[in-house]
Amino acid sequence: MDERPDEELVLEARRGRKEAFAELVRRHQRKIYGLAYRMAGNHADADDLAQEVFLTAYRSLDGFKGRSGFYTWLYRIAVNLSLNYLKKKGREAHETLEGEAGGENAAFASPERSSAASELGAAVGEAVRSLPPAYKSAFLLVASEGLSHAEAARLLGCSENTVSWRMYRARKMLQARLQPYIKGDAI
Amino acid sequence: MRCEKAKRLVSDALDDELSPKRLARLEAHLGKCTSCRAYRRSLELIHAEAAKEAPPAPDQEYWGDFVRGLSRKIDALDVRRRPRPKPAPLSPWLRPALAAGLVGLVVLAAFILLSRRSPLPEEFAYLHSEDSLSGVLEAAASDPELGNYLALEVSSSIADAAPIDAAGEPFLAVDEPFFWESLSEEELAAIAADLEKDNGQGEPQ
Repeated sequence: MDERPDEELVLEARRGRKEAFAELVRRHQRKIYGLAYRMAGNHADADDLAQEVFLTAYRSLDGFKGRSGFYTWLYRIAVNLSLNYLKKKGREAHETLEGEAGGENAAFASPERSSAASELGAAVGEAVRSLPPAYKSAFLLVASEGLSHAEAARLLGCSENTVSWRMYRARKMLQARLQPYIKGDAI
Repeated sequence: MRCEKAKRLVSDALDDELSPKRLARLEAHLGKCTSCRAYRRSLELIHAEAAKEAPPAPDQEYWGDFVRGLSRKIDALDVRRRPRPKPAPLSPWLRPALAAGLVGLVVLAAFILLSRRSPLPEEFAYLHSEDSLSGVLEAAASDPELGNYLALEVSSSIADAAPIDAAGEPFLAVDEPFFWESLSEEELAAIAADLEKDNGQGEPQ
């Protein structure tokens, strides 16, 4: 296994050594795929997104100045592409929870009405995927990926306050949707 | 503290983003608010479930295919981005030959066009030819070599086209009296101006 640091492999890849770039891919593919999967919510789209992340990185290698680590840079590309994906999906057919915090949602109205989301874990996954893109990306970066508000703000190009507000709103939407599943547990 | 404010702080607290001072204020509120405590508990459950939800872990075969598929795309990308090889520079002796060939082609094309277009009676064909040559003459004005070559060709073509008189000399249309009568006032004025400029004779004889 190649143990050279990422930055050295980047220099090699810039000189045209594709094996160096392949090593970078092998090193980070799982984490990038994981983020893509959380954002996309299915394997096929996550696979496409992850491939696109590495292709974009390869095309932009000359633009990598080394001010941050290679993985941070790659992660930022992944977040940007995922956000574009979410916006596109949102435009296409997304049913959002925005503005429906107290309303009825067929998929989450009650445990009896949702066979797929019969358990809290599955229901949470579904509910998170149904969040509007801006809230979903903040929630996934902070709650699932474990980033701080400051890190998420940098990636999303907004202020920490905005991230804090989106987290609050996302949680409120999720709590309202998932109430039938957690009522007994929470009290 | 109002409950709505407390709920906002609960969210920040779950992300470890709350200062100790604010956390203390929140805890004080939660200590006496059942509803906000229940809200925090429900968020903790959601948070824990969301953090637990791990993406699937594809097997080694998938990752092998992933890298191979990506490599194919990168190869295709490189083929598209590869700069096209520049044509080899022309050798010094080939350039004038190529230029001369191009000039020859232009002249040839001009004469082919001229030979095909002659709806006028044969005796007035030169008028049509003069008009048709205007484009070529303009090109020749900026290229001395082409100009010389064209002048030579035009002279010889006039000699070739002109009928031979009894003395064996080419019969030129300007010698024909009807030629002058066929010209308009403007054309006559232009010819007069040219003659005046060339030799001081203002009137055609």
